[in-house]
Amino acid sequence: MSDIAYLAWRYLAYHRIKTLVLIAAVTLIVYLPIGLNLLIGRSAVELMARAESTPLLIGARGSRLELVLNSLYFESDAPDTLRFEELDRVEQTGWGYGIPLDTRFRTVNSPIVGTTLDYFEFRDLQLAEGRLMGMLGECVLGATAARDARVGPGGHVISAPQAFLDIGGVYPLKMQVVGVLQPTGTPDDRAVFVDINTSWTIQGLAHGHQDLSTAESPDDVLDVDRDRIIASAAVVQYNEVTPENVADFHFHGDPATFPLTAIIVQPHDRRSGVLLEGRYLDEESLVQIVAPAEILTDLLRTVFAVGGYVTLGVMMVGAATLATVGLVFLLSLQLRRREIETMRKIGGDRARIATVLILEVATVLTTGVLLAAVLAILTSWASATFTRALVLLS
Amino acid sequence: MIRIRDLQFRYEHSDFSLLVPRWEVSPGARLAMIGPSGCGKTTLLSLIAGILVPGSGSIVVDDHELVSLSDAARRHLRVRSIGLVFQEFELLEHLNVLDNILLPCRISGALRLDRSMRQRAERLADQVGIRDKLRRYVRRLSQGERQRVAICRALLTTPRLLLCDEPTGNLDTKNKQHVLDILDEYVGQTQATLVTVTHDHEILDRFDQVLDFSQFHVGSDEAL
Repeated sequence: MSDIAYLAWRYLAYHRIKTLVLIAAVTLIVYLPIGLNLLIGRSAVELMARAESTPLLIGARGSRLELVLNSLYFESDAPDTLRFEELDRVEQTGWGYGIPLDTRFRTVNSPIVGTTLDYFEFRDLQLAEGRLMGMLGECVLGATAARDARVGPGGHVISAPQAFLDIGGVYPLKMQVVGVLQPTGTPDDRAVFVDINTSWTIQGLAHGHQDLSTAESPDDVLDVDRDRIIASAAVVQYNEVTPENVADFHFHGDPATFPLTAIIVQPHDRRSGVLLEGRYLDEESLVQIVAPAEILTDLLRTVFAVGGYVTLGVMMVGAATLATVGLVFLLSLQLRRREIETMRKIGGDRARIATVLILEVATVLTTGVLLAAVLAILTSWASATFTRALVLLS
Repeated sequence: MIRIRDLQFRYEHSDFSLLVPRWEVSPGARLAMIGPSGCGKTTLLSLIAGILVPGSGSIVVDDHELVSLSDAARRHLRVRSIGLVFQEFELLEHLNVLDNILLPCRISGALRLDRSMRQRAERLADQVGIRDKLRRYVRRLSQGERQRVAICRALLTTPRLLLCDEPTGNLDTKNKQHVLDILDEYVGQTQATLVTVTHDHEILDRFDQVLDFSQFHVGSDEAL
């Protein structure tokens, strides 16, 4: 190390607290606008990728953004429901096919997504272990959901009660895990996938109990007439579907009226998509169709605008901080006049003394900028995971 | 050897002025300069060291006419041939004792910091009794120890002229005698010239000559 560099280093090392504070200030000034833009940019890419892979969504009329966020990212409150028969209507047009979604329920940690096997093909979800659900009450876990619940094929997860004090509500359903998906880096990783019928079972539209027509215990039946059997409260509903009791599960009501939160629609071609959109233009209709990419573009336009203001604010604060850092250096020079004078008196070259001082400032600035660059690289490297965690999965 | 002829000096933006018509210090002399505060003793030391440049006149140090030397040449002469000791020690607090002693080598392009220079620094520290404190920061030293560090720094290049500005001004009696012993020993060994500014009349018997500064003209511009 040269003598000049050594002297600069000794000064910075001796005043290490001041040095670290200055380096941290420079690092933050440089990094914040860059990091913020990287994160916003990456978030936009993540959000748009999911939206662009979902051509159209049909849902109950209401907030379009809420419909998209809930159906694509399983976030926000569940939108109002539409009837299952809407799926038939879509497919009867011949313009595309639909995949039903029911995202109203959760386990303790994860959203439960009631759907069909088409969803796995549509999202290109691959099994890491086990198999896809094939029977009522079975579920397939996304990679993160399985890791969080520490469960794999052969284990169980339980649906969470809808309301803490809903004493008239349905019992939580114990579901058997039959498969775990490979990680995809999308919201699917956190989901618990069940068949749409299982989702309706969680709601209580289907239930199972012992066959009362052959009940061995007469206490289970209150009354019997020609058309119906009135069960007593002693009849316990099953809270788990097993191969032994699956035959006892049955639906009440017309399946066409059963609820969905959304239908993912994949038109056969662009023209079909336009025709489908036109079909739902009627504002009086209780159902709406949205193109998620358009909704997300609008959202991101707002996010970028806000991000721009935040960046501007950060840069203004940065400029003020840089001015303060400059002032600190100038004040430091004032305080060190005697030291500088001493070095000159004992024969120090002006150029060497100036170089020592410049090297001190340069070291702080360079270290700050380098750290900011490292942080920016790390942010860029980890931004996908980070934004998924923060934006998509929070 | 120091020889001054018709020296005139005044600070910018000040009415202080100094006039030295003729003054000589022979090689190997031990000279103490006394006089009231503000009479120009420190200014004269700075002129002899080449830190300040006179408005007119001549200053010759070891056959070098300072007035005709460039700023760089004066610095080189200072760092090689003149040792400076200050009343306030003027040590750098962010350097340890060894680095403070070696500072002239690091800060001047005229010297090279090599093994022999380090060995000399350690030897000097040994001679003045601070060898065991070479790695300590100077703020952890006593006043007397700090002045010994400053003396080691001044003696690093074995200067032929030693200029001391009240070197015992901040020291107690014991440390005062210790510092003077060190300076005496150095001058005795090297036949260097010692010029010391002091207010302390108790130490004047340690010097060969005592110069009452009032013989030089010090006053306002008008007086010059």
